[in-house]
Amino acid sequence: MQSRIDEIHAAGAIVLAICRDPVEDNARTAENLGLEFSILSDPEMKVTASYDLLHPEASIDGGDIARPAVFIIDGEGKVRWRALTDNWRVRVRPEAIVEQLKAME
Amino acid sequence: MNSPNHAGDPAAREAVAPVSAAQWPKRAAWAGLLITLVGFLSYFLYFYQFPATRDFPIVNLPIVTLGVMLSAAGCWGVLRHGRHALRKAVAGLGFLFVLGVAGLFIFYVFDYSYRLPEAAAAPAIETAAPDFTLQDQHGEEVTLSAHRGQKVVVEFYRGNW
Repeated sequence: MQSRIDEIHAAGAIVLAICRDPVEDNARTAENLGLEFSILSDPEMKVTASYDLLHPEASIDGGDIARPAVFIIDGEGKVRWRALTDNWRVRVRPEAIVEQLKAME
Repeated sequence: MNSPNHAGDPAAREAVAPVSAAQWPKRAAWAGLLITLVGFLSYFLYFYQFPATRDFPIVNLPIVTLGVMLSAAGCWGVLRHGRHALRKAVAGLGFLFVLGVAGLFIFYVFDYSYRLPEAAAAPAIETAAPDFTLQDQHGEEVTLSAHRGQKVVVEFYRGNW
């Protein structure tokens, strides 16, 4: 996502990444990788569950993790595009997201 | 053998040749084991970082395949031509181990990582995205609905960066 962040911002969008890790871990990751977007902490996985993306007990430590997914939400709060990969090794390509954002203008 | 220079003596060369010929199965078997392990480990430790080599293991699958083939050839050679029962047993076990590692790799890439929950209730297109308030990496609260008027890309990460 970071590789295309300028194009995403240029298309008038912001990125909110959500993951299970606590705030301190996210802060460290953001600094190490030079991320220019928000990483939100969802430690109890409540938001993940509200999007029905809970993958129960799939973590190395036996806890719940999220099924990878991307949603593009418009200015009125409606979902305009979503991508759920069928394999957890495959992440949605940032290029696809940029393409969708441009098509939305 | 009166002369110290054995290289020029055909009988001496014949005595040397079969010993080096017997080296290839052992070397191939060890090389196969090493290459298979390298192929397996380097996927998770290195090539996993890049979508081009992670989404389909375009680098690691050939390496693991090569390792299995070398191991098969080498272990077959040891089993066929070897004279020590212990070495044959080791070769057989080694090949089984290589098959196990390769099998694990194939299983993970082509089966296990597809096992995802259905997510049938995930917000559909043209429906309202569930609102949320979460803390960002600076400890500040971020609310989705506070960004009305702006396009927002919400990405859920699996959890392990």
